[in-house]
Amino acid sequence: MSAVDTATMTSPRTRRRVLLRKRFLRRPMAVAGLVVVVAFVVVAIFAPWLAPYRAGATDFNALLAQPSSKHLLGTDSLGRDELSRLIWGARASMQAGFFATVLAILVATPIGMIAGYYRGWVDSVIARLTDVLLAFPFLILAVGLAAIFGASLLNATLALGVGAAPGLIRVARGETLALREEDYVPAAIANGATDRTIIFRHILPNMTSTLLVQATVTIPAAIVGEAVLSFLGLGVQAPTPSWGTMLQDAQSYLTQAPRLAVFPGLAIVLAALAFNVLGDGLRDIFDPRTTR
Amino acid sequence: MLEVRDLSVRFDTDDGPVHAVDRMSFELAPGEVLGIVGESGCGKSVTCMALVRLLPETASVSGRAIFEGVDLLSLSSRRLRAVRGRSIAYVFQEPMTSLNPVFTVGRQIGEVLERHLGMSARAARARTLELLELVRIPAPERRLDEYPHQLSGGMRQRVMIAMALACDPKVLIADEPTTALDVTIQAGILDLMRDIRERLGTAIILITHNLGVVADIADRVVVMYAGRKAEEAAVDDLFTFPQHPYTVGLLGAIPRPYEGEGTRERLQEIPGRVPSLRELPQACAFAERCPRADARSRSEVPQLREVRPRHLVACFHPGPN
Amino acid sequence: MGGFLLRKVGAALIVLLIASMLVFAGVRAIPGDPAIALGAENRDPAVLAAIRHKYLLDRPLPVQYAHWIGLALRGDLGVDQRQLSVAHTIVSRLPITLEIALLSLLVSIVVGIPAGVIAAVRRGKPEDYAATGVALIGLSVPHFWLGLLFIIWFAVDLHWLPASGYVTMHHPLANLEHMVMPAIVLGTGFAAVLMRQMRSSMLTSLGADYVRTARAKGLSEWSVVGRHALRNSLITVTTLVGLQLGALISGVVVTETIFGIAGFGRLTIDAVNQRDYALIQGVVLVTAAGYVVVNLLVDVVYSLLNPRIRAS
Repeated sequence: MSAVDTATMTSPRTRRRVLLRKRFLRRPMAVAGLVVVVAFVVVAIFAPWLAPYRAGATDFNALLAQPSSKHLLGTDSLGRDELSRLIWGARASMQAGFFATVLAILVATPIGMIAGYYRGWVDSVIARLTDVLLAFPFLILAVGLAAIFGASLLNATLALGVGAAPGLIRVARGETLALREEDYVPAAIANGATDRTIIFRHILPNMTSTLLVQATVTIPAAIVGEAVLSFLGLGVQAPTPSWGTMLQDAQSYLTQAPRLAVFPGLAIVLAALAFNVLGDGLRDIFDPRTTR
Repeated sequence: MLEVRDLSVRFDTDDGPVHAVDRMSFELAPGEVLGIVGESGCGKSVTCMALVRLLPETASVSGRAIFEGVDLLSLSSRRLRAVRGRSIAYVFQEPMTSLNPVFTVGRQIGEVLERHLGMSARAARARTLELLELVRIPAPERRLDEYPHQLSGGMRQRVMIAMALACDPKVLIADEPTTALDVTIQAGILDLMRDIRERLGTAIILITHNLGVVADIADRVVVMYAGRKAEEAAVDDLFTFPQHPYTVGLLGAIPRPYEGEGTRERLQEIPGRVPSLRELPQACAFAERCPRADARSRSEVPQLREVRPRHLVACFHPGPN
Repeated sequence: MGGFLLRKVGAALIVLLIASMLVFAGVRAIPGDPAIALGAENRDPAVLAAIRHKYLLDRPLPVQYAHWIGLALRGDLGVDQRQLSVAHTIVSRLPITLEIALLSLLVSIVVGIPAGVIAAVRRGKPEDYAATGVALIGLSVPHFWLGLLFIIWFAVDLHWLPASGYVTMHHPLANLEHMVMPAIVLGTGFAAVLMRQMRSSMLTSLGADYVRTARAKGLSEWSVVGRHALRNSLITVTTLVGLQLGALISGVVVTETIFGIAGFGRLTIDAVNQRDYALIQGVVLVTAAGYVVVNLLVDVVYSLLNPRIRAS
């Protein structure tokens, strides 16, 4: 075999990755989404170095100040710099978004796969339990957790993760149900594969694209959810900055300083939009029916 | 009655154009049954869907399809809709999915009557009953208010045929009407079609890949290959004196039961594969698989010639073998 | 259809049962003496004794649970911090929240479904991009922020609408004035979800064989899209409505908080902030029960609409 032959002999997996990357790059919206997402993540991680002021730094000489060279976005009712708090707030939102989603996926995927693979009474039981979970919207869960354990970002994240789980269980179950009908499953069984092998080596890898898409659209919901919970006092507690608590503060000063309500909200919208656009793009490139 | 001239269909895909049909021409006389035969992907369905403009927007159709003096391909949408279902009716291949699952059978047939013939709901219902009886569906009064999922595949196909015949069309285009059905049911549907042709005088275009079906009820046959017409003849002529090597190959590939005399025949395959439709080869499309191919076949497109009375072939080396 | 419904009702009952057990366990899990929690931190020994007696706190848990459920089923959800009947409070606040919820649902349907249909029919054209883009933004906007913005624009700046408060239905015009912003704010999120689902569902329907048949029959595009395709898509989307109710419940809480409406949602938050455990317990139980019941209703409606289930 000549060198030319080996150069063109790439594995199917590599070819697929190259194809997916090409399809992704043909979608400017999705690329933009990715860029913004990365930007937010970077801001969240490097907040201490990026924020001009510390999170709790107050300046009683500049209460509710208009934007100036000293405070690019103005200050709030306690003289804290808006821009800095926005940057610090990204941490709470990104944390909640990612960890809630990771929790939901880690919990939901095995449960959904077991329900979809074994079906029968296992499926029925899991379906009922999922319904029970659904009967408690994440807000009510947060209420419950706050009542028992007190309010905190951790509890909010837990509530968000548990709230997102039922939907993911359904998705995992649906995918498993479909994938287990593929021809390679009975072929693997005929070769003596155990249930575990089939689930982990055959079904799970084929679900990763769907799970990735689902994760990308669960994160923005979790980010918005965290903002809601913090706004209501069920999540991050003041004085820790979170976009939600900032909006709660802003509520009392709508007439005097409406801009305090605008910026945190815009941050939430931008972050959520970026993830949603990215998720849509990912869904498109993984769908064999789309042509570009 | 129906004259198709130089019909060509090109699909614009992201990977380039696909020439599904290349200059097809044929005629249909009143009351005639024309069979269009060919393997999957040869363009037979696309040809007929192009006639009534049921193809997706990515398709570019050129040529003419003159029906009762009017070119269907350049008709306005409104006037085309008046022709569809009324003068030219279509029966599709998949009875499972071709009926709307959320409307009753009676409603779906009645719709056509109300739309084209202006019937009232009550009159439509009565006529629907007649139609269901015409297609020999058992217990038609019950079926009127049943939903498609409550019917078997064969019955659904009969419903499709009843729906197509509702306005007594001049032409019935049946696209592989029996392919999705069991063999025993197939015979029933074919009997029905024969009956319809005799009783109502409807002209039928029957698309199929099954030569047996064609032998059963067609008057004339068109053999298509790779989007082009390969041969056209009366049905008896085609089976007795096939001219195009592809037709010969198809006939040779029909399994014949061994009757215990002499040696068993092997099924003759046609070697090779259908060419890609992405370019229009300036050669005979069948050349690569043809035992008779020569330099001329590979460099020129064979034109249709009449080699026997009313028997056309597009081949440089026609003949039975 | 009877079998289908029976199974759904059975499942709903099981879910209700387990949910109620969770609520029960939740309250008992609060650190400290349950009697104090249920009595809203009233430490008067006589009151505590009365509570212990009423809820059988010294008996084994299953007995407590059965007793508690029995009381609840008879409408006795205990008393809150101010010695008011929890059940009564809930019942008086529920209609307000229901009104907001229904109005917002109306907004969502009126905006979301046509938008989805248009986007599907005009796929790839400017109308589609516009509608899809707006829907994406609608999905990403936290509705409480939208509420704050609305208040700033329409109430503070323009003085068109009242910023907060609630007026009963006895004054329909004033009532509506107060409901407009909350309903729109709450409705946008679901409108976006609905629009995307309708678009996706319509694209599937429009690509189906039966639509090709409808066109081959010579029906007008109106008929094809509006009757044949739409009916199928609406049925598919029905199940989505039930699922969205959870989001609606959460949304109502925040909306009432922002617009200063004393409804059931607001009650939930107030209960938490005041550590009124009896109230929390009642509210959570009613929420879960309501959710299960509404989903059951949605299942019923779906089975009526879908001939495959109705006619079997």
